[in-house]
Amino acid sequence: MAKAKPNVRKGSPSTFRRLTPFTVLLLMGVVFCLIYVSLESKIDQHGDELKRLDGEIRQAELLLKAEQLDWARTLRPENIRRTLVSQGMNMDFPQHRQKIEVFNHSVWIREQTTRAGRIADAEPQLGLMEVASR
Amino acid sequence: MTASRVSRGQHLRFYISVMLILGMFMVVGWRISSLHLHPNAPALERMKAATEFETEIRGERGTIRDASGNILAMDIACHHVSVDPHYMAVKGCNPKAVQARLAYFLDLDKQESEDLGTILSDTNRKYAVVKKFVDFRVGSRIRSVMKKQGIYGVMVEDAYLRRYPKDEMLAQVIGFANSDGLGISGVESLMERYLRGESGLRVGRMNAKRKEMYTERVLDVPARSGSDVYLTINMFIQEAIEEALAEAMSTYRPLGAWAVLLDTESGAILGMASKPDFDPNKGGGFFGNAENQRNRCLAYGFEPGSVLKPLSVSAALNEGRISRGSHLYCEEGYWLHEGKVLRDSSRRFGNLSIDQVLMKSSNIGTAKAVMTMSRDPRTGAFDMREGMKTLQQYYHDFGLGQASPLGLPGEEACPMSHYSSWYPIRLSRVAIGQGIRVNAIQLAGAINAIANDGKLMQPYLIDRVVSPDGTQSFEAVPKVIRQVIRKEIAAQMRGIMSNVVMSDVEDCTGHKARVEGYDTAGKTGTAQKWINGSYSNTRNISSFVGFVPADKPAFTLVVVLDEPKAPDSERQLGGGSSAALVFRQIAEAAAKTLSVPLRESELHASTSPAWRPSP
Repeated sequence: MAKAKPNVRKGSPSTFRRLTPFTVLLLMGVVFCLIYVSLESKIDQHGDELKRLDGEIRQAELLLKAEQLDWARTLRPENIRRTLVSQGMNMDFPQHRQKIEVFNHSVWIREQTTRAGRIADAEPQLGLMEVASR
Repeated sequence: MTASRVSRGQHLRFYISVMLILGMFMVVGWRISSLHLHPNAPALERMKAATEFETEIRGERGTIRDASGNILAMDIACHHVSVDPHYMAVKGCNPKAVQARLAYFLDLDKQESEDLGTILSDTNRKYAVVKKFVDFRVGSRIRSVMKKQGIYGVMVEDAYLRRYPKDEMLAQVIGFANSDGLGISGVESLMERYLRGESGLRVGRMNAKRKEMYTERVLDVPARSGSDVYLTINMFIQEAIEEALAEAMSTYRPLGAWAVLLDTESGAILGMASKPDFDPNKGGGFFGNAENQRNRCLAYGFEPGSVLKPLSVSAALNEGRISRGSHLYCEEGYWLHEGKVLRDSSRRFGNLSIDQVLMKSSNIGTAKAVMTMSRDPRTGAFDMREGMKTLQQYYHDFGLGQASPLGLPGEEACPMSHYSSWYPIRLSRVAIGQGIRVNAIQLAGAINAIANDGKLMQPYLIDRVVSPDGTQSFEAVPKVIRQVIRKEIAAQMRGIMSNVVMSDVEDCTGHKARVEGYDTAGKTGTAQKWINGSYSNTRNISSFVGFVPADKPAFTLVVVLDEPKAPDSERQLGGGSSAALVFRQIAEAAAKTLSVPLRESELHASTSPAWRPSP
């Protein structure tokens, strides 16, 4: 009678014993790889975000410079004078010891009226205002 | 044998398969390891070339500003827009659509648009520039639109451009920088080492899409911008000077007009202009008229004529050879001296006081005043050499004959020949501003010494230099070069020069320079030009020097017109009827800008307060 072959079954305890450490190592390796890849991709994402923000800052700086240039052009005394004229303010730069105050016209009228109690009493001031604005 | 059992043959096949797969992995692993551990040079080079990059980051050039910080010159980002028709065809882009979009964004006219169409239809071309120095906002817009609409082959390249927002204003003083960002003339060249930025360097790797991988950046040295240079220029005074000179150019039609205004106490240059000028924004720096690029205040030496008389007279006064009360006989306008005739224009003067000599601008009176320095005070003997030596020493002390300390390129220093080489007649001629050359800065500095109690101040244009981190790397300090004449002599000279302008006496030459509300001091100058070996009777340089107010000057101003003509004819005008008017116009604006106190009588007269709403 032929000698019976050893009972080697797939998934038998002995095979598991042999395969388990390998599988665990493989799984661990895969998990580590996945963690590494995900971290790497996260870092790349952040890197790209930083680069984008860098670019935006740069763009903003350039835009600021362009605006500065436009302002520098606008603020030429000649342009200021022309603008004053075009706005109906045919005035020169302040004379010696002359002061110019910038204020809210309607607020000032309201204040004058309130202070005087009624418009008629505030008229002298308002009249002066009219003369000055003319 | 049952189905669940594995045969020996199957075992063998399984192990062989595993061995083969493992073997393949080992081969690949070995190859990868060998490539990493023992890379061969060509492969490494190819890999490097494909992924690594090294970029130089341009350090921006610093700005140039006036004393208040208004920008006069700055770097601005821009774009060059170019196309690759070949790549467009490969990617199947419609050239008509690209043409329409680019024409719209770049504001191309019909002809330019048609030219672009021709370029785009030539699919053999791989590169063609459409427009250079496009506003960076327009360039960015083109870039984003092309990306959104999937249009390939339009390249928007980064570039920088030096812009001068005030256009022609101060053009010759600021100068210009070339497209590489290198200062070529003016302050741009003088302050190159401060203005120039330091380039940065970035080394890293790119991914397959040729985009930089931020995490693979191995070196990132940031660029450093250049420092900001602040000038002493006051924008409103500068504008007034430019405006007055432009008007003078159209009214008197001179070959050139220039002016410089100094702060009396410090010597700071508050305004300096020269006409005709150029616009550095229009490539004028390279392609414009070279003559227009000259800052005549520095680069144009001229015989000053009578504006030099105050210096000559103050030398004689300071030497004690004459006093303000002295009288000099002016030979009825015709003096034969050393075999040559010296005239007083077309006027005849007898005895004149020192005040009158300058008021009437007598050549003979000034020459005689200076010649008193040739007389030995003990023996009374005349020694012309002694007079020449003393006069030259005074001129030297006033700063004439030497390059100004501004250091701006292109200055004509106008050196004086040594007095030992002068003919005896030269003393009388140099005293009245003939046979000697000066530039406007030298002249302004010398007259400023009289205004500033005899102290010669070092004129300066650079006020401060501020680094990008906000620290001041340079700050100008007003510097007294020397005391040229005594304080009391300077005060006397101010009085005399005030009489030249303010006196109501007939023949007073400078009355047209009177600045309303201020006592004005000054001196006119009408110098014949030296042409073809002789002095021309028809062509002259007219000038006016002066300061305001006369008793306590706030600023000193020099105005020069080269061959000014009468508005209605070709007749040449003198300093009193051309430059004096320009002087007045500039001085009025400068006095107002600097809030120079009005003279006492004016203060009481102008009592009307500025209107303001009462609280």
